[in-house]
Amino acid sequence: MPSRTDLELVEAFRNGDLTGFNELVRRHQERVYWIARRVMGKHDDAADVVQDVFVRMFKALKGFRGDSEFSTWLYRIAMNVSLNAVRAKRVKDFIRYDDTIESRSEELPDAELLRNEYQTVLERAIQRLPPKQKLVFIMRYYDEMPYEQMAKVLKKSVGGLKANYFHALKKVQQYVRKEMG
Amino acid sequence: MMRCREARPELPDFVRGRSDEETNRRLSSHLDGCPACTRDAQELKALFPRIDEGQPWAPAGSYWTSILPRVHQRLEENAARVLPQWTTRFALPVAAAIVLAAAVIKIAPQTGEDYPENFSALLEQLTPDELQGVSDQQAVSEILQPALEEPSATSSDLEEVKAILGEDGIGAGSTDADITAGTEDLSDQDAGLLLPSLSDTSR
Repeated sequence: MPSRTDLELVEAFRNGDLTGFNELVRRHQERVYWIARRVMGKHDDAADVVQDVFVRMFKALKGFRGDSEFSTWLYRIAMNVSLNAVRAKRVKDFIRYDDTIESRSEELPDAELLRNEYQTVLERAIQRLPPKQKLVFIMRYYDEMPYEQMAKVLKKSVGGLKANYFHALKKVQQYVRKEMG
Repeated sequence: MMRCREARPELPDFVRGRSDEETNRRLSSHLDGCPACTRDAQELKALFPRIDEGQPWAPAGSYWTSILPRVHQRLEENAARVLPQWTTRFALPVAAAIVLAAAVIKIAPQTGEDYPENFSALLEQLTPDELQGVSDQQAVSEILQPALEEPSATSSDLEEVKAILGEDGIGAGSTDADITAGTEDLSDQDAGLLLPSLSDTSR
């Protein structure tokens, strides 16, 4: 039996079939996780965000009009939940990004601890990007999302997004240069 | 002829080989005569492999299968919280009112208008057990009072949150608004629909 489209799964869920929701979660969980993980940095924080995203998806599905692709719609939820979570974390804990990186290293597997200093600085540079610039970087660099789709998710012009992406990369590169000498 | 301002935003895709032919041609032509943009392109070319090396560790396979049950658990918890949230809103004020009323009834008939002068005498008349009872009621009132005084965020709190959320960039208002429809608590109808079937995540 051919797999159902996202829209068919949404319709099934709206008609009371919970398997529609379950399948949507399974289908999109990996992508949602990596958005959250790259925004939040730590796995545990990302795991919380993933749950929050799908809980919100559950509540909001009845309002999904299908004007945009389901994945774009879900991406926007994931992005907003991640942004709110990272901001709440910053406000609540007053944690400097440096501390976040250090505390993260305590829970990494051995192989991860062996990364050289350059990688640590690079990771810190990415984490230090302003949240929304970091999202642009994540969407374009890691997800390789087309600018046109990014423009729909972020409601920004393609030209503005390209400039944002370039500036994010320049910031990363300048931070690394400053830290590594 | 392409200018630097146009060329730079195109550099990341150009360096990663993701530009279209037309952009490639125009950018190559620009780079031939622009040392500053050429330097930017070289720096990006050196940076990208380093970023690729620094991919974070992936979670174990069991994590992926645990996501759906955890989501269902959260939904069940949310659905179960609908009633207590509703009752708590009324239970606390009622409890506080009872405690305060008890304290007033206990003291008022004996003090009358001379309450300030007679208070010490009144305390002396109380047995140790009665004294402890009044003290306990006062402690309960003090514990309950802060909860009654701050049931929700004040307007200044909200302003502060808005200021924090609006601190940088891109389309904050529009994107946040898109998911507000999904942030309300589950309705009783949702809870009724959900509860019988949530425990089964195998489907």
